[in-house]
Parts: sequence; C-alpha cells; structure tokens
Amino acid sequence: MPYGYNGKILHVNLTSGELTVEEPPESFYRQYLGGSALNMHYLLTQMPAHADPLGPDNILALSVGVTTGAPVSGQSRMTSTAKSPLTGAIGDAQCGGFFPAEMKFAGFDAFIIKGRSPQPVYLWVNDGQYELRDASHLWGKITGEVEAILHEELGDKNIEVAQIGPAGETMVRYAAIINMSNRANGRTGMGAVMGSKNLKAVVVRGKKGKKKFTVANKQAIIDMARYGAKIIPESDVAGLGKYGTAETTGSQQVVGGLPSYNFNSGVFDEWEAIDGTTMYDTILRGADVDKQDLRGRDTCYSCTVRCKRVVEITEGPYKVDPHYGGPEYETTSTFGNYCGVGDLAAVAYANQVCNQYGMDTISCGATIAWAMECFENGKITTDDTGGIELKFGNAEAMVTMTEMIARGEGFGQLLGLGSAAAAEAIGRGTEEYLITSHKQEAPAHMPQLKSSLGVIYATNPFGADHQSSEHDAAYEKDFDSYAERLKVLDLTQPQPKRSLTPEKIRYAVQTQYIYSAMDSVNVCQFVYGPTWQLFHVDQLRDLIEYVTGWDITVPEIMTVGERRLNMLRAFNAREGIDREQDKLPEKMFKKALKGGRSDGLKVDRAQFEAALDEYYRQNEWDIETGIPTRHKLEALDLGWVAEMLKI
Amino acid sequence: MKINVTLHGILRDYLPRPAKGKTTLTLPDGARVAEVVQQLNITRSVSAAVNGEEAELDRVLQDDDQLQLFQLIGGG
Repeated sequence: MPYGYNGKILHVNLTSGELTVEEPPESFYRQYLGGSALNMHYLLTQMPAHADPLGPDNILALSVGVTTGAPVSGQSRMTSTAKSPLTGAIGDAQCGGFFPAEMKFAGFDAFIIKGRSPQPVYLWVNDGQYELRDASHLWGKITGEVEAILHEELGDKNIEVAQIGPAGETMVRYAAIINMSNRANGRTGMGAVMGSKNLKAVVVRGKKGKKKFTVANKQAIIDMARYGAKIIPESDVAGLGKYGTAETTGSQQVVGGLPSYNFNSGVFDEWEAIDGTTMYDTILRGADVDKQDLRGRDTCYSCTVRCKRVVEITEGPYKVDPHYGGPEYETTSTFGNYCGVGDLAAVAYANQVCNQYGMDTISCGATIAWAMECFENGKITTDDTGGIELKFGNAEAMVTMTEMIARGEGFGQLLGLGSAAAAEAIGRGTEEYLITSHKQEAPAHMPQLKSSLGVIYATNPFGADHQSSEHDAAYEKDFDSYAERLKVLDLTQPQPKRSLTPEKIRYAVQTQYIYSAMDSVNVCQFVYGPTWQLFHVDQLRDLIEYVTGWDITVPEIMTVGERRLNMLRAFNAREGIDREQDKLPEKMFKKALKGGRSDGLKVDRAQFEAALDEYYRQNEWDIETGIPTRHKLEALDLGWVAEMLKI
Repeated sequence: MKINVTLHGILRDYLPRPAKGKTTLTLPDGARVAEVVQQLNITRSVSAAVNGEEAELDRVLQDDDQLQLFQLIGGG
C-alpha cells in the first residue's frame, strides 16, 4: 500500500451486480488528490452526455482523499459526485464524520457506482472484501433504524453506514446521503441519485486496514496533531467548536447579513432565540447540568475542533433524540430566519426530520421559506397547502411542511422537487420569489453584502454554494487579521467593502482554487484554509507531504483545485449549460433589503455583469460562453476534455 | 456611566462562566467601545453593536447603552 491511500478503486455495476477493482498508478492520485477531482475523472470519461440524473446511466462517485484517515484534525471527509436531479447540472457534496476514515481503512479510495439494481441492495465493504446484499428489509426505514438493524445484522457496532432515508427512496430532489444518522453529503440531491439506483446504503469496516494504515512521516503527523490541539483555544475556530457554527448568527445580524424572510431582509429580531450560544445554554445535551462541553459536542475522526452539535429535547411538542445531532448555522438560518421562525426547538426538530429521512437542510428550509413568501403574496393558498397557513413565523407550519416533504405527502411532494421546479409547476409568478442559482437554493450568506460571493453563487457549477471560496470580509479594508496568511497567496491589497474590482475577483478566484483543492484532497474547511481556519494552506501542503511523502507545493495543490473546477465546468458545458445560466436571483437585483444595517441594499446589475466578465477572464475561459478554453484545459493536463467538448 | 455589555459566542469566555456573557461596567463619560474591549482583556478581533445597531470601535458610548460584542471572522 502506498503511503496514505490504498491505490484501489471499486467499480460497482448495480444493473449486472458485477464488482471490479481498479488499481490506478501513483500519477493518477497526484493528478487529482482524490475527492471531487477524482470523481470528475470518472463522470467525464464514463458517463454519457445528457444522462437522466435519476436513470441508470448516471454515475454516483464516492471518494476520499490521499490524506483521509491520518490521525490529525480535519481529514475525515468524503465527496459524492453525480449529475444532480435538483439542478440538471453537476452535483457535488462533502460529508465528515467517521465514515470517510473507515472507508479508507476498509481498503478503497473510491466507489464508482453505475446502473440500477433490480431490487434494494446495500454495498458491504469489509477489510478489502466486498459484496452487494439485499436491503429489502431496510427500505422505507429511517436512518437510525437502519443503523441499528445493520449493527445487529453485521455483528459489529463499529461499522460506518452512509445511507439514504425514505426521502432518498422517493427521490426528493435534494435528498442527502447521511452517515452516523447526523452527517450529510447534503447538497445537490446525491441521496436521490442513490435512491434511483435502489442503493440503500454503503457500509464500511476496516479493522485490519486501520492497523495497516501508514503515513510517510508519522512523527510529523503526531506533531501536527499536537500543535493543532495546542493552538485551538486561541484560534478563530475555538468558538465554532464550543458554540457551533450557529455562533456566527449574531455577527451576521449586526451587519445586516442574516438572510431573513426568504432573503427580503438581512436582520431577524428573534435571532438570539436561535443562535449558537442559546443552543449551548438550553438544548445541547448536558446543558441542564452544565456538562454540555462533555456531552453536547461531537466530532469527526481524529479531529480536535469538535464542532458538531448534540441536541436533546425531552419535553414539549418538539422532542429531539441526540442520535440525530443538532443544527448548524445553515440549518438554524433556513428553518429559522429564512422562515421567520424564532423557535429553536422547532428548528432542531426540523433538523432531526431531515437527518431521519435524509434531506438537505438548506434546500429544504429555503424551499419552505420561498413557499411562505408565495403564500404571503397570495400566489399559493390553503387550497394548495391542504389548509396549512404557510406564513412567515408559523413554526408549526414550517415543521409540518418539513414532515410532508420528507414523507412525500400532499403539497410536500411538490416542494420536494425544489423551489425552482415547484415554481415552474405552479406558475402564477411564483418564480419572482426564488433565491436560486443554477436551480439550487442559496445558503445563508448574502450577495447583497458579500459581492464576490455573489459571483461564486452565480457561476459555481453545482449551484449557489458558500463553501467554494473565501468570503469577502477577509479581504476588505479595515480588516487585517489575516494579512500574513493572505500574503502567502500574493493577496496583499485589501479592497473596499462590497467592491467587485479585478483585485477582489482575483481574491475570489484564487481562494476558489484552494477550496476546490480542499474538496479534492478532502479536508474540512474549518480546519484548513486561506484565512480564519485552524491550519493555513502551508500546513495543508505539509499534511499532504507528511502523509504521502510527496514533495508537493502550494501552487501544485491550487492547480488541482483549478483542474477540478474546470472539469466541473466542462461537465456542464457538455450538458449545454453555459454563461446563460450563471445568474443570481432576480429579486437580489430588483428588491432592496429592508431593515437593519443592510437596509436599502441590492446587487448592482452592471457591476455584477462586469465582474462576471472579469471572473471568466481570470479563469481564462471564453467570456461570451463561460466555457473553459482549449488552451486552459491543455495547461491543466485536460486536453482530453477539450477533445470531448470539440473545442 | 453604566454600560450593559453582552459578549456573544467565544467572547463569553472572557467573563466567568456563570455570567453567560453579561456584565455591567462603570466607565467615565466619553468612553468608547474600544475601551470596553480593552477593559475586558479581549484579544480577538471584534465587531460591535450599540443598542442593536452596528457600531465602530471608536463609537462614544452613552449612559445605559446596550453594547454587544461579537468575534469578527472574515469568512463564512
């Protein structure tokens, strides 16, 4: 076994039941590092153009990266990639937890899954052995029940299960793949793809593999892990660890950047009811006896940050089982401020439903918020909703609608298509209220304030995404906390607030390459990154070297990120998707925000369009079409992709 | 003058745990937000709100103001 990775990829044909192992050379791993870039290699080489996202021709690729499983923070991540049934374009989503490390120990770096099984099955991979097993008895069951049955059936409580819930089975277009019953490959409907293939779960165990796992420089990894544990209390991620990502709710509110009432306002009066510190004080497990640091925080394999929430509510209408975790900032936002709901128990309950049934909390909450705005404006009525008063602030309606989507009931079935498809089906001008880019609902950061993030929302090949570049504030004047880190990337000229200068675009593009690389090597974006994260990009380089023994450089890592971005973009080009689809929601241009510090703000269309030109120019893509050029693809060793696109 | 201070998120840890981030400070007239930050020995980058509205660190405080402090993180 090479250092860090297995050198083995398992190909699964669900139609024929055939399973085969490929052993790519070292150069393949260095070219892609794993994760999303590796997945894209298979989607571009093995999937026909214009495949039905929910048909057997779609390929679902699940892969870890070259550093996954090393005993250091932030490495246990797995990327799922397929054509998205939500967007019709490329889909891509990452998860953490213990599944990714266990998958590595089980003996494989990736599972490339094709076809459609005639009946429900699960893939069982145990220390290099693999088989498809009947999953008829698991079909229709929620995640926690499936985990319990599989623990019993396989006689091992240390197996890791990545599965779909009932929402994946019924192909809710934003169904997620869930592991540990509380970690998600959330976005772009990867769970629906899995459901369309009749694949209920992927189960991994690597008892022997864990013992055999070796890295090139063990002492350096130990030192790095110790260093991370030492610096975390004073680091910028200390708060995310202790109070969770919802700790940031207040700092968003104060600048008017907390998307509320379906993005009509940047402030929410009840924000304190749903923020991370309130969660810590009230519903985190152990809060009643002041032991929540011990009992209310969970982690991923070998990570010191411990940012995951464990919520327990035993009384009232919204009981929450700690097995299903607790909400992140994105979730408190979409079910909370997006919907005008200041009821933390209701938000935590909706989060639980999503984890039980397997749904993306962002798209689910945001789709309900969109429906609420339609309802408030008379475009949707109780005739549509089955009598539910789907108004902003109605916590009960928000929860009921979440359950109806999860179970495919009534109006919930329509909302399970995602807001863009639902708007198309309903008509009546409901598209006016959409907050989608590439048909994916926007996460809880506002382009009205974060202007370069708006460009990323619009252009990102898998739709609006907040984890594909560094946000604006870190490179704006009057904020120099990260000057030293950004200097390493030659980013030394902070720009005015809300600007979209060529230099601001350069910041977005360069940090996008880093984030793109991180989704390939598969590391956590709270632990590694260009500014506020625990470790800097230089330490990501160190990590890869310590694990693999490769004398790698930061520019080489960034090139992998750029390569992956171009592959995603090329996939979309092959599907006929180009600059025409690189848009922000119309309401962000037309409707000024109301209230708070961001009152009156909207996105300037002329500035935005000029920034798009600059973005394509800096990426060396065709400015008219936004499609990668042959010159650029060849420079990235992707000449074969240019051939495929006939450009 | 008296200023009611609420520290959010990790900034709460600059006060004893039972305080849950809340304290009242007595400051001389003309004191600014930055002096509160200094007095509480907060070493992190912060953003501030006075009476619910974003405020700069050189903002002069008034008696009975509600001051909220947040850790300033540049990213998402």
